[in-house]
Amino acid sequence: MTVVTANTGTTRAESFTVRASAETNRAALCLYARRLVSWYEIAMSNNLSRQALDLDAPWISQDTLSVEPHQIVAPDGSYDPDDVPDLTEEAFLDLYRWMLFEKRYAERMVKLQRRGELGTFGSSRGHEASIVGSGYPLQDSDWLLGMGRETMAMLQQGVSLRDMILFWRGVDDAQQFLAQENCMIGISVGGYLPLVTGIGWGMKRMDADAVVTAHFGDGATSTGASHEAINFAGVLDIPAIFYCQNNQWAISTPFEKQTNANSIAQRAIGYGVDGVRVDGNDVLAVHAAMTEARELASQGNPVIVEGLTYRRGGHSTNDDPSRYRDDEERETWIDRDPIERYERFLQSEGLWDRVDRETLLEGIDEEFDAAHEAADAYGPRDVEEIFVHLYDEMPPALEAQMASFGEFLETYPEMDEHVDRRPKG
Amino acid sequence: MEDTIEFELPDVGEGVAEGEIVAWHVESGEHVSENQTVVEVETDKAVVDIPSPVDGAVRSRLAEEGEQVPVGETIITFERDGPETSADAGDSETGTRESADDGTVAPSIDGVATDRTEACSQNGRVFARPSVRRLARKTGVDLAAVSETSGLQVTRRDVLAAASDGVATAEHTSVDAVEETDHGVDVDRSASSGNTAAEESPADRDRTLAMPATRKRARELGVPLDDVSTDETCDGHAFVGPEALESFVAARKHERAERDQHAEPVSDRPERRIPYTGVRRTIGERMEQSMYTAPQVSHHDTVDASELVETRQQLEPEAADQGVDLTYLPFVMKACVAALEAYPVLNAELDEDNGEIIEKRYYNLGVATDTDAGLMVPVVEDVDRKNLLEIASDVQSVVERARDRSISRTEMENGTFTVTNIGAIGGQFGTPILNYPEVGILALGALAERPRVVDGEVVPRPVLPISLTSDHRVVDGSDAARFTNELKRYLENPSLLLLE
Ligand SMILES: Cc1ncc(C[n+]2csc(CCOP(=O)(O)OP(=O)(O)O)c2C)c(N)n1
Ligand SMILES: [Mg+2]
Repeated sequence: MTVVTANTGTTRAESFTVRASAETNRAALCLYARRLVSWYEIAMSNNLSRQALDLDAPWISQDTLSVEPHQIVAPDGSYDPDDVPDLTEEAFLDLYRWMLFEKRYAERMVKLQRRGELGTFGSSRGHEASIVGSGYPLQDSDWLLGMGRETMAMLQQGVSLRDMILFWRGVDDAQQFLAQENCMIGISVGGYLPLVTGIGWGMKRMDADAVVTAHFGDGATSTGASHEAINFAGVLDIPAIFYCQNNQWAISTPFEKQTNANSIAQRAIGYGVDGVRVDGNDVLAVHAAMTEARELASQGNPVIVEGLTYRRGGHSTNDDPSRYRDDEERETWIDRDPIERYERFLQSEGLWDRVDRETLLEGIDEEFDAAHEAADAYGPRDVEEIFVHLYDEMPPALEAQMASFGEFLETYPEMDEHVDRRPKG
Repeated sequence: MEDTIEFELPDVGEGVAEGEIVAWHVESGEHVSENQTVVEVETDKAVVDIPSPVDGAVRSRLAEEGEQVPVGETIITFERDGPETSADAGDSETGTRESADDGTVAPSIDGVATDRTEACSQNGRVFARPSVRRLARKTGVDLAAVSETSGLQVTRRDVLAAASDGVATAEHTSVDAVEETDHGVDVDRSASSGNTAAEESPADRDRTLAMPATRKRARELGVPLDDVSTDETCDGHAFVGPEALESFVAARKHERAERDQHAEPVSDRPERRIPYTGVRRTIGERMEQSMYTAPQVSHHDTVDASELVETRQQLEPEAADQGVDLTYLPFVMKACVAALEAYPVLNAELDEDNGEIIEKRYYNLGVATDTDAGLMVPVVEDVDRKNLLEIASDVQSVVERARDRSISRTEMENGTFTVTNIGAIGGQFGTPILNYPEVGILALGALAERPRVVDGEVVPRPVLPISLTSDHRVVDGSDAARFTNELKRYLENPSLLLLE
């Protein structure tokens, strides 16, 4: 719940570095930084030095297992009709609407940030199929703990768009509203994954008809917490789905430097759970895999689902990816746009005539406008919240404190200026 | 009160302190729609497009391209379209435009309607925002009483309504509160709105008629028409003509000037605070970058300029015939090129990213120029391919244009070496700072007769002191000394330049 705190932490560290470098002899720092980088590059490069050895023991290695991504609709829009999941027409169209919503939402949130109305925001451009396909099969009773780049999946669980705006304004009440829908966002990368296992354990103990889903990035898979969480989920037969949106970058760290393993999905074997890699830009494939994942999980088989996708924009509104990655790489992924691919599918299915894209977008914009207005109307903190926050029923001592503080402010109204209420954005 | 939006430069990069205005995409008066890009801003993290927060008209742009603006400073103001104004009707300013919402302060840029919850009452106790509390005190409104009728949510508007209804007015209207500064809400509007006499205090009406041209002019000047005093009326409403507007502006200017004079701080340590912005700041930042990036070392020498003085005297009338004022600078520049050709390491740049030293085979010489705005370094290109007169006339032209600021940014880029003639003002030696990323800069002292030992005797000679600073990462002290010797050889024997 320390949403903004984690972020400000990073920022403070950054600004410290900047200040330090201005004050210190820059040349020395450059040299130091360069050494650091070259050390890092050597340390992180793939192990190319392996020579042909005559080995007798039954070694397993990266090539022992081939992990093929599950795909239903190819990037060019072609597909085998037998593979198409058995969904209603409404569901097919709904998937499209949600993807369009995610895209428009991300665009408008970036603009809001540039207008100074959000603290920061991480665009999901490119992830639409991965987000919508992974959220759609979840049931009302399910829980969803994410990292901030899975908004529509949360909206499908009942979270309001207003609260997403509030969240990115740094209004931590938003987390409470999210929690009312059994959703939460963890800013600490990977840090919340053990809690996911814990929630699943609770579900199991209460014999709940529900599963818990964790959304996280490729970067999170390198945290100790993620290993503990998934391994322990396997031990305890927990109804959990670990959905990794592998967008191939963790800020400026590319996937090759994240792990020497070929995939995230293959780790399932090591944790003793089931895993699958899926084409994260194919909404039907993600949907199909998540549907099965939910079936497995609800029987007490935790699973890893790796959605292979690509983060098209910067990590967040304070990031300039052109400083660390090629345009070329990005271009190839723009050709694999998840929404366009699905449009081709809808055309082939004869469903495209039922889509009025302009009207859909207008509706989405209206929803966004209303959420924006509602977020603006969300007032500042009241002083009594300090007192009422903690207990369901306020103890008399606290009540007395609240009364005397109120009197104090009545007597010395100018002190009110010193009460720091939540800032906006 | 017009619905004006003051847009402050936001923190677009999670903790950045300032941004440079790269390019404006809109003009004053132009109509913009919400989320249309109005300006490109570069922070130390990235270049970003800043969108308009509203549908409306650009009232004024408050920062120049190239300017560094701190986060939180207003960079542009908009006039929001009224509910009756359709999105594409930016120019339909008629004289009947009414302020949208009297009694509320203009919404801040995040579009927060100011009549949102400002106070909340629970258990009979009211916790109010300072501004609402102040307003309530000033108007003698009892906040708790208001909250009883308006429910838990007490707004600024509720307070104003209560004040005008006389409902919930506490008996103790405090007198001293009237003197308090008011934060945006003028509760005494009714008293002042009849005031149309030509006074310095703003007329402060709710409604003002004017011709579109006057309205536009007022926008450019950043003057709310409702503040402009006038005697004229039209259909029973105040009417502001162009003369009234101009005389109001002149009066206000005068008043400000007076105030500024009187505002001179009385202190035994008088000081003046000058904004560190614009060209001054750019110079400062360049110097800082140069100084803290390149380790710099300076080397000094003197040149016996007897022959140089003679040569220039001979050539001067010839040059004058061709309309060129021949100074020593073109000789020095030519000599520099000859010496740079011999020691190319001084005509170089360190490409840190690629770990390479770039020796440049072209010779673009910067000429440090003292202008009203501060130091500028216009560049004369391809000095090696020009003769003395061409160099002289090029120098003259760029220096003039730097001084009247008609020079373009590109004419101050791509230098490979710089000459600074500080001696024109005075002094002998210096430690000039490199025009980074160049690796060499030559400062000329004042050319004057000085005692010099020639053939064992002290004689007066015209002497030119020179100081060379170089980037010690690239240039060793021995290179700098050899380069200087070579330069000296040419300057002491200017006829050698004929061979160049
Ligand atoms: C424990 C922790 N360390 C560092 C950060 C700063 N940080 C925020 S997001 C991020 C990278 C996350 O990458 P990934 O898990 O791949 O998710 P993506 O952003 O690509 O969706 C980092 C390092 C953080 N929030 N928490
Ligand atoms: Mg990632």
